[in-house]
Amino acid sequence: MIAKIGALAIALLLAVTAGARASDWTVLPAESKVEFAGMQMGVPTGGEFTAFASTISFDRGNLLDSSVRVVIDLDSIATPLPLIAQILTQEPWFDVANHPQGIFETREFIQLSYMQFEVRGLLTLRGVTQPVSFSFEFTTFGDDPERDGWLKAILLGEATVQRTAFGIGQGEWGATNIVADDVTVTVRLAAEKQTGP
Amino acid sequence: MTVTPIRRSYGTVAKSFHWLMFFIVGGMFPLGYVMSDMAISPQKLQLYSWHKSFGMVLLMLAVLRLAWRLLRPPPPLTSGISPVERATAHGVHGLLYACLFALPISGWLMSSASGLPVVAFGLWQMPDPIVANEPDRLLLLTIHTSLGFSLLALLTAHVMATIYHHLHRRDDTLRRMLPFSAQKEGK
Repeated sequence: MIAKIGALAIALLLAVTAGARASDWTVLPAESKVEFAGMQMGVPTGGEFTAFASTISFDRGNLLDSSVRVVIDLDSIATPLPLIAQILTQEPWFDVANHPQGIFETREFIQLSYMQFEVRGLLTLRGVTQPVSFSFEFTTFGDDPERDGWLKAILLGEATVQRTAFGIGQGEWGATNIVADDVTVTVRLAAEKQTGP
Repeated sequence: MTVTPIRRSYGTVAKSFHWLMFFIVGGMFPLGYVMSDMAISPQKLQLYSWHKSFGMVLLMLAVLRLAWRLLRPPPPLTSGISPVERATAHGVHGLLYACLFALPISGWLMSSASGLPVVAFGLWQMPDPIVANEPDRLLLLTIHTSLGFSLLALLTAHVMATIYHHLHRRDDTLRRMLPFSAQKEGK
């Protein structure tokens, strides 16, 4: 009985999150970026995740049925000083061995202006899920001049998350006077969608 | 007509620069050695922050000290030394000054090449002269470390020479830089 309910719950969850809608936008990885920036001892310290996959169903005329799911391969972390990326994959930080993926998903879009939106979604890191709001802006949204029958969109999004809310920085790293709690996540997504034949 | 007496001692400002930098430089060696050897920890980041912050203080002091030296030339070297000794003393002093500039600058550039800008005392961010890249970082690490050992060698020579002058030659080489030693007018 419990197993059946569990299976049903998982099936429902899958339907609600990933399975509900097929991706109708194709992300262009070469033009997309997921970056982060924090502070240690007042020193800006940042990097990026070079591997991530996105499932985007977005219709600006039908925000209620729009959804975005981004799965980040946390092992793809890269920092200007490679040693820092290596440290961040370890247990006190992202603990990539046990939590290889970071997931952001949302179905809640709020239009602020013609090109500006806010998304409220759930970010899962290191086994912890927390609500996170991104504000984003389309810098491009229209017919792709290089590809007939395709729509191209480029968005820039930014969110501030508290690393300790996800347990990123365990033990002695939990103190926020050395490594600040706030981390800014900056996303640039370029995607295309077929509109005509 | 008045005769300007020959100053035999360094002035208060020059002495202050010398002894302030003496203590900071003296602290930078163990700090740099310990911090680079440590495993990653919050303490390590704290020590790096101090090392870089005091490095910027030293750079600032070096600029001010050199400017002051140009405005107020130091007293002539003690009399009765050979031309070789004179040249050696001036050479070592010149190299010491070069190190006092080159060490903080190479450290600053190394930070920049690491993608970790210098933020003095967590407050004042220095500009980044170069884009972060690993080959430059490794080159600058070698330069910074080599300069550190060079400065250590020069300081050893500097201190040995002072001891030699004070104890063997019994001249005023050390006394004229000591704090509170009265400025004695010339002969």
